[in-house]
Amino acid sequence: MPFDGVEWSQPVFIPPYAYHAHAPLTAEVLSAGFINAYVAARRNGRRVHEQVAPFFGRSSTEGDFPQWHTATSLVPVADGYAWAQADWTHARAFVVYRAITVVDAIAYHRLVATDGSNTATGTTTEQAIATNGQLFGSPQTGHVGPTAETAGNVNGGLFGSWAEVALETLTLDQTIHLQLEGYAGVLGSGYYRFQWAAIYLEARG
Amino acid sequence: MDLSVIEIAQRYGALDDTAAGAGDFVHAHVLRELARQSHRLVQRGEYLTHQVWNVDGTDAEAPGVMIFSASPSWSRVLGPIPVMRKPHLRTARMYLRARITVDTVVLVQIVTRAHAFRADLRSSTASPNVIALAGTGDWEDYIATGIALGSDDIEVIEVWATADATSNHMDTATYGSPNNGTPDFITQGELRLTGATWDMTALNAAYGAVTVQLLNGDGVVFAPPRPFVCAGTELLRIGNPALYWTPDEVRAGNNPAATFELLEVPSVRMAAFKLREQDGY
Repeated sequence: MPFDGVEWSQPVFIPPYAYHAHAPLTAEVLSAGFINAYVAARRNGRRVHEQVAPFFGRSSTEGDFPQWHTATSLVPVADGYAWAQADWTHARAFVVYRAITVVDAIAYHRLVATDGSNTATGTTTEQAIATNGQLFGSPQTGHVGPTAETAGNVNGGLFGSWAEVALETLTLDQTIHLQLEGYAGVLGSGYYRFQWAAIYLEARG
Repeated sequence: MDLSVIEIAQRYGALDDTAAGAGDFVHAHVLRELARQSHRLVQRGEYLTHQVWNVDGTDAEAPGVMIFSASPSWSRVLGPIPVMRKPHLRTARMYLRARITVDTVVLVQIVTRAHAFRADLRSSTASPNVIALAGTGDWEDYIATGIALGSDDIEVIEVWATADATSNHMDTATYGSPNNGTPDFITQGELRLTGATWDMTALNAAYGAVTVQLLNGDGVVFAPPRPFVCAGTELLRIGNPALYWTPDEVRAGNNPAATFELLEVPSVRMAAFKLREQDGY
């Protein structure tokens, strides 16, 4: 997962017997070792938080619980704490959410990090929620509560988005607080339900 | 030591801290050790997703609780979960802690980029990504290995679940007898069996938790499971006209060889779900 956009293909496979203590130490084994070390180093994202909201597939009473919200501005939907070494430069969140809107709408997400005294606020990302179902994952069938996740349903769907924040204004080498915020809607018409998120720390540059 | 025995460093720290000092020569042992450690780093599996839920209290729907009924058809219960991963590790290990209705079997299907969702799979032998979970009515740990993963550095994981209709006969101690047999007759919305001792109170209190399906003389299901109300100790009634048996199903169901089965819909409450890449060699 090279977050800086540079792909380094797959690691080189070394037959384990090639570096057996009694096997000849060949140049191929060494170069493969270096390549693998480089590949491992390029995978520089580290997941530091994962959060999931439960749902009830048994009845439609899901709507009775305060997991849906109709806020018209960003509200916290997931948060956690992570130790951040000074080498990390960014935090990036992937989020899966459900949304119901009566018209084409926008879902907004933002990641905010704080070290206790300084706060870094990421740029708010926007994702268009098309009424024809810009869906994520396999098509759902059957009854799943108040949101029927079918492609033709204008009233609900499951979506994936992201948000990130630069950590340069924070004092690192300590525990930081990461908070993901989100909401959906245009003119206050959207219903938003957080489903799942993961936050990664990464070192860029 | 044998050349055929796979050797992977089990931990770091095999070299002392002066082994690769600046300006020093590096001998073959150090190089070999460095190569082996980098290889280990690449081959070690990492966790893909780890989700936990409230395990307190009864199996009621409440905030923080993850619970669902495994229906006769596949339903997605977790995900999609996008995760970054090591693309060359192609199998995963599942750890699931769940409480499932006693004497029922639930199939789960782990959808990955190596295994697209398939609605037709009804058996855990069909794919390493389909796993059968036998319910005991108590918290159990379910572990499966060899789950196929794709070869991309992003994986999108989904978990689907369904009841294994071949093994989930209704509990006769709770709901009365029998849970299968040859009906006296059926109509569009009724099934009668003389001599049955179905418990109206228990069955109707659990409406939807027990379903009825019809099978032909060869044991093939021709009318898939439907919920019903118990209208008498010998009479079941399908309350929803949309679910009435069709005229053809009624004709087939009145064939003397036809049988019915009463199936319990498993309730699944999850405490934890974890997928982890399995180590390479």
